[in-house]
Amino acid sequence: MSDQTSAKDPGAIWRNQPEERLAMNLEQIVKRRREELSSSTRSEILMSIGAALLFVTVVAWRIAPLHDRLPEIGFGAVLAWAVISLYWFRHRIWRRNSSRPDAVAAAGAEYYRKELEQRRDHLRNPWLWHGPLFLACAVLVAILAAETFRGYQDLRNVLPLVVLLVVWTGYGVWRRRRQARELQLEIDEMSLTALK
Amino acid sequence: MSGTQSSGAPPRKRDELYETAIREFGRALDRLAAGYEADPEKRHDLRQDIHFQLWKSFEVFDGRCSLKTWTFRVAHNISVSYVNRERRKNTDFVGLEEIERTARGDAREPDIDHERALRQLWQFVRQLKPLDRQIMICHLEDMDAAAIAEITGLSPANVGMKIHRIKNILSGRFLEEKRYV
Repeated sequence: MSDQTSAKDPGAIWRNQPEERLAMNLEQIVKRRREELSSSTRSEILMSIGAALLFVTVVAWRIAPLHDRLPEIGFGAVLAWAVISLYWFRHRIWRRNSSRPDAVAAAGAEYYRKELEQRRDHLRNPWLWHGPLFLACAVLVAILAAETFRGYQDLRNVLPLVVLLVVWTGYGVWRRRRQARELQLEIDEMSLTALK
Repeated sequence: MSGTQSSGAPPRKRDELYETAIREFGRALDRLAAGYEADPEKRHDLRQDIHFQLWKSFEVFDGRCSLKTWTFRVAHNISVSYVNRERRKNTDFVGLEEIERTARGDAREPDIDHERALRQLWQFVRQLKPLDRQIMICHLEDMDAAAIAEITGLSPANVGMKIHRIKNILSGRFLEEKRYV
């Protein structure tokens, strides 16, 4: 086909496009996806712990009665749970497991499936990764119910924050449960043919 | 592609299917991505997405259609989802009918050079609505109406009608009278 003809033939023009400079590498793509999943999990853990700490700080500052055993114990428990969570999720937060030999030696699909399963398990367990925040909510309820609570005026000081956190927590749990279901579907799809 | 048809794809088979698909249609997939995204960096992301989803999709490939149909169906679906996500940032798309109405006497340049023609073709393809774009790209890849119908899910008659329009538009733009009128 001459240049003149090909310049007038849209099909030939289309099929003779210059090649893309960057080649595709499936291993790298899978690795990147896996890292994206890890990154989402890590930021969710840190956000949950951060929200819980912010919550107890505001509650302690604005409405908790001074020198009362109940809030002190509650806040201590929240802090302890936050520390335990940080320890529990340390591999996920600091990415140490990405260099595990069995992980890097796994075939692409297996490698990716493991990450999907880890993330699904993580999302299915809101009591664990949202624990400090749930506990902080429980502490607030306990303070409001206690006899030493000074009344509606104190509550009003933190009401916007309480509403925001309750909505955020509720939405977060719903959204993550949905994500867990979607991940399970993806894992099922991958498992279905692997069993054949 | 009968050799690649099977009832489900175990992991190793899936990798083989992916490699076969990329070996046979990799360049066409790159061109397809170019029909959906102009920006090189974003196009690279789109290509990555296409490759990743295609590789994953072979887990459930059951051989009821050819490897080519499957590959292009997946690639177009991913690209259409991408276009829909990006739609807010883009200008509105137009249909073939609209282009047909406004294209008369437009852009007739007999001595058009190859690179310029390609740019013009890209521009033209990228302004199309997703379904028209799928048909257009498949047509430019030299697929027949039956193959395009299988990929898009439209009836062959509908595809035939759209292809007729595409040929008219292309003949107006590229003066390929013998082949396209």
